[in-house]
Amino acid sequence: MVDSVGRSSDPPSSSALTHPPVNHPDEDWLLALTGGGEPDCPLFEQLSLYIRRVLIRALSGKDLGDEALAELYQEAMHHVLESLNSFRGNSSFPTWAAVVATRVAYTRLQRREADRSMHSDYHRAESDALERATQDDSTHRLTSEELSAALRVAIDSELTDPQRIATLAFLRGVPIVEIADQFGTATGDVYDLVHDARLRLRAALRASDVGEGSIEEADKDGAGG
Amino acid sequence: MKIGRENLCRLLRLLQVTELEELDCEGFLRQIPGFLERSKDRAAPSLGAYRLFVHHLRICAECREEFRSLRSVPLRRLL
Repeated sequence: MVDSVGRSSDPPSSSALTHPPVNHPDEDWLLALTGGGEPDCPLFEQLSLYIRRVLIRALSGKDLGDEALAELYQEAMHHVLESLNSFRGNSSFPTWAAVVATRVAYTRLQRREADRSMHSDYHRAESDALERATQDDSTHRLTSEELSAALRVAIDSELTDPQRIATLAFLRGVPIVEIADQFGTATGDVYDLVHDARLRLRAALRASDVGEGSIEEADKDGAGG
Repeated sequence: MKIGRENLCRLLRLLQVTELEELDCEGFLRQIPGFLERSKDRAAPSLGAYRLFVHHLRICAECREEFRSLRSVPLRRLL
């Protein structure tokens, strides 16, 4: 894959392993990676190797094969290079790059899982699994019928359709990135939608006959998941 | 729209920790590098400065998982 600055984002060659690890100033990284340096600069190879190592470690619990890891690496590396102008210097450049690459990889994996669900009714299975996982005695004794009823009423009366759909999907564990894809919007917009829904529901519950302390009481009884 | 009892419970828990001001996932992402470096420097990040960051960890399971995996990576040693 060739990035926007004309460099390959293929995995690094073994020669990269011969470069000693050096801590470079952030300016050196940016200069080298944004086109100010030599085409085959060692810093590119060092970053490439670093990102690959980070992803292998960060995704070690995901049981991914080499091919899947290589694809994620390609996409992550490309995104890091495309996003250089969003680096603000709040950390060292390599740490920033590692975090960006990991977000890209996780987002890709979430989308992949969502794609699979289109064919296997994954959402229902996941929802059922979550329901089972959280079913214990404390769950069943926690919510008074009045509180449940008030919450159901508030969901129906206080939320817009998009808020209701997004909130319920969020509760069922559907990744925000997947909800955003379905809505054709950004993840930040989905977060805002669900956040506003939560604020509305909380205000409605507190204003209802159930009373001000009901939310806290429910949690004390075991509402936490 | 049907909502099961367990999801109602989950929602109630979320309502209890809902704040007027919250970080979304992108805002959270922007703060991760600084938080990671400060915590690895053993200069514990001030919880005040990272209040919204920490709060987002309570709300968002996806960001929580991602952050946990990143925190387990020895970033400096891998460079």
